[in-house]
Amino acid sequence: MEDNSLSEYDDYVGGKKENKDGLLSPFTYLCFILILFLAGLLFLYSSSYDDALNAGLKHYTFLLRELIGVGGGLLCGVILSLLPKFIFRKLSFALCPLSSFFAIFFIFNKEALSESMKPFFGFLSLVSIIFLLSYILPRIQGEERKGIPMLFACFIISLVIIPSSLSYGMGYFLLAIIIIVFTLLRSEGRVGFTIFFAFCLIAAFILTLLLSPSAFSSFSSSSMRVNDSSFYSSSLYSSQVMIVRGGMFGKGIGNGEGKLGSIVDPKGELIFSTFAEEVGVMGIIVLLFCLFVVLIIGLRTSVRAKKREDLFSSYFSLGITLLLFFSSLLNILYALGLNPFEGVPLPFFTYSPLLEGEVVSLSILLYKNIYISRSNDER
Amino acid sequence: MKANEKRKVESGTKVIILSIILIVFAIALILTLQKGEIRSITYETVVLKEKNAEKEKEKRALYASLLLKDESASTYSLD
Repeated sequence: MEDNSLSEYDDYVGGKKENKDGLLSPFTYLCFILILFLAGLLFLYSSSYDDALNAGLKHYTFLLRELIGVGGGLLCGVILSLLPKFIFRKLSFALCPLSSFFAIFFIFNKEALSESMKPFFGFLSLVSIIFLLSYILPRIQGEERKGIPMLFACFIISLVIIPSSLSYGMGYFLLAIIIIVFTLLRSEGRVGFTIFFAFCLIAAFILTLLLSPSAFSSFSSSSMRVNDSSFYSSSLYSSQVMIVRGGMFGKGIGNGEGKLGSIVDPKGELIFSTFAEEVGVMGIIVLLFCLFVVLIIGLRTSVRAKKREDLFSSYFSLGITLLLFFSSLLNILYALGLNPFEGVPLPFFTYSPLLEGEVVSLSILLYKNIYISRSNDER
Repeated sequence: MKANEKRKVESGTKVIILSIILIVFAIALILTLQKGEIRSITYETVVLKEKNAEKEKEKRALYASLLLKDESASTYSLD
């Protein structure tokens, strides 16, 4: 018995089975996601202590709130990952209307919501799209006619994402298009159908602009903040100065000066500038590398899940990975002044306890998918 | 036996890597917390100084107004 297990294990360690995973194992994912979370918490504290003091709070208040969010997210993520697959799938479909409801709530209460709540609702509406695609797409394969309700639902949710002012919505709209187009391409590989769908989404967006003059005016005035001289001269310009000031190796964690009053909300969507000032270009390269590794592992999981015909897991992994990677990319480009659409947070870093909880839960669910895909491949 | 040993080594390596990440994070967090603490102390001192200066100003303004009142009263009585 022992000899058998030994030969099997030797085969596993030195042979084909280990090569399947290589360096991109679930453990690698766990390490990189842990680095991202811990770095996020660290730089959140570093960029928020001055804000907390100015608000008359203790310097660690925002860190504590974020930690509470992480705790809640861990709990939710573990509970969701322990659920049996079929219950989770059904639950995911039930989450769609709930998320849509929250998205609509987000539009009508946008002004009443605090800055830390907005990214949570924006992300939730994107997660609802991912759940919807993961649940419906496997059921309509090969029959484009049945895709009409799915198209309609995605169309409505994409419209729902565009809030009244549009300055927040455009970034989320772009993310929604990226997720939907990639998932459709992954589902059947029908390029023509996907291009047609992407054009439908863009046409819907233009139609909304034309039908709503107020939205159009706000789009032309406030969403293009790069052209807005007053804003550009204050926060965005300062953020770029901070990034340049960081140099190659940065000023050291906690030693940044730009967060002490140069930018309006250093712990918000411009937290990347604080990060860049304190750790420099090398830190940015490490951050991008971590995100890239998570993207590669997520995409590989999606491919593996599709191979074993677990389409729900395949689309779900793809959606979550794209959401994490592209929202980070859009945020970084915004801080650099290369993306005019504000509002998209930097997951793991931006201050929002609810968003942090959401990202933790999604990361745990992605880890479960990675682990399952690996263990199924080993068999 | 050999397989078990290899597994143990693998899991041991994993634990070591995770603990290194956590330790590095803990050290960085403690150092940053210290900087935050220093900032809060500086902030409190500055705020307290400003508050004291404001109180001093208010007191001086009050004395000045009282003095003025006294002077005006005295001039009135002299007249």
